[in-house]
Amino acid sequence: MNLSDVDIAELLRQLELGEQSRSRADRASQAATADASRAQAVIEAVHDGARGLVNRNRELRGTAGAVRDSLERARLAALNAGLEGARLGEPVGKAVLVMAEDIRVLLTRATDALEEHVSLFSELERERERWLDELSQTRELVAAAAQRLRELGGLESASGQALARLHANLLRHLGDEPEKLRLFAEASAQVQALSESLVRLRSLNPEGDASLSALVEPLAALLERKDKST
Amino acid sequence: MALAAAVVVRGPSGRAFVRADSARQILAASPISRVPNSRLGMALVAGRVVSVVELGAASGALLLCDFAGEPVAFSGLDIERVGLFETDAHGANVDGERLPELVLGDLVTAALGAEMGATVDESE
Repeated sequence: MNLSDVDIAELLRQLELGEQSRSRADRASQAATADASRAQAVIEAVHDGARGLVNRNRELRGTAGAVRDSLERARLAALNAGLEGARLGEPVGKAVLVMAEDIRVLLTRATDALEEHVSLFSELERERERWLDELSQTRELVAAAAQRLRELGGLESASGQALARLHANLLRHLGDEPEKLRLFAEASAQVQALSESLVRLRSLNPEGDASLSALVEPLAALLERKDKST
Repeated sequence: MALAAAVVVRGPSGRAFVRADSARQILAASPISRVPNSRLGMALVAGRVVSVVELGAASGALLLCDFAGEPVAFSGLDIERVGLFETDAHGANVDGERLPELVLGDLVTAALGAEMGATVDESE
């Protein structure tokens, strides 16, 4: 297949446009990869923070167990104090019994309040575990997106290199002609547009302005020769 | 009805009371060793091995009582409170509720009786 000079010029122009587009895409890809890396770092930090919160919650629940045991032993001590008061009999024993019962009631309330807190801790822990699972999934998705962006950047770089090689090979083949060919292709496109405008103008003025005909006919001949050469 | 010091408990059969005269101490539960073919168990309490009558599932507390001069512990009871309550031969009034007395002697006898019965059956 023989390519005309115009076709070659057009090919060069398209190659340049392609390289410009690829360069813009490459810059956008690098920016997106950088954004994805930053997002990944942020999500890692949040994930670590959430894991820390869950661990702290577990420690708090463990501490609550020790407090529960202490409260129970204190309750038993209060019951025993009441027993001793019962053995002492009236009137001293009754006072001891009453005080011991008051202490027991307070300890029971403290135990009930502790159980409420433990229940709340457990609920919070379950919510945080769910949150942590979702965060883990998000982390994996962001990591996968970042990897795909890196692969895309690699592909763009490879395609850019291929375009550059193609451009260089073509220029080597053409020598010092490409600039002339590019200018010729631009001029050809402009002539085509001008001719079409003049033809439309002449159709609006069918009586014919001689000057219009003087412009249109040479342009038409020029375009005909261009078509024949391709 | 007379005021008497009593320990209010909750066992497998519901709420009841134990006269404070019979109760020696309330303890945190310690490991109970089962005695084979017996409803009795053994536990180390204040450096002494005492018999344990298991009335139900472990509740976390032992009620140490005197029975015929010997310490006997009862497990499976939730020890609710100690106080002065109106009592008579049929029970005690606690918070508007009529509670039966938990006669510890009957419980020990029942546990020993079951053991003795098994021994008699084996010997026949």
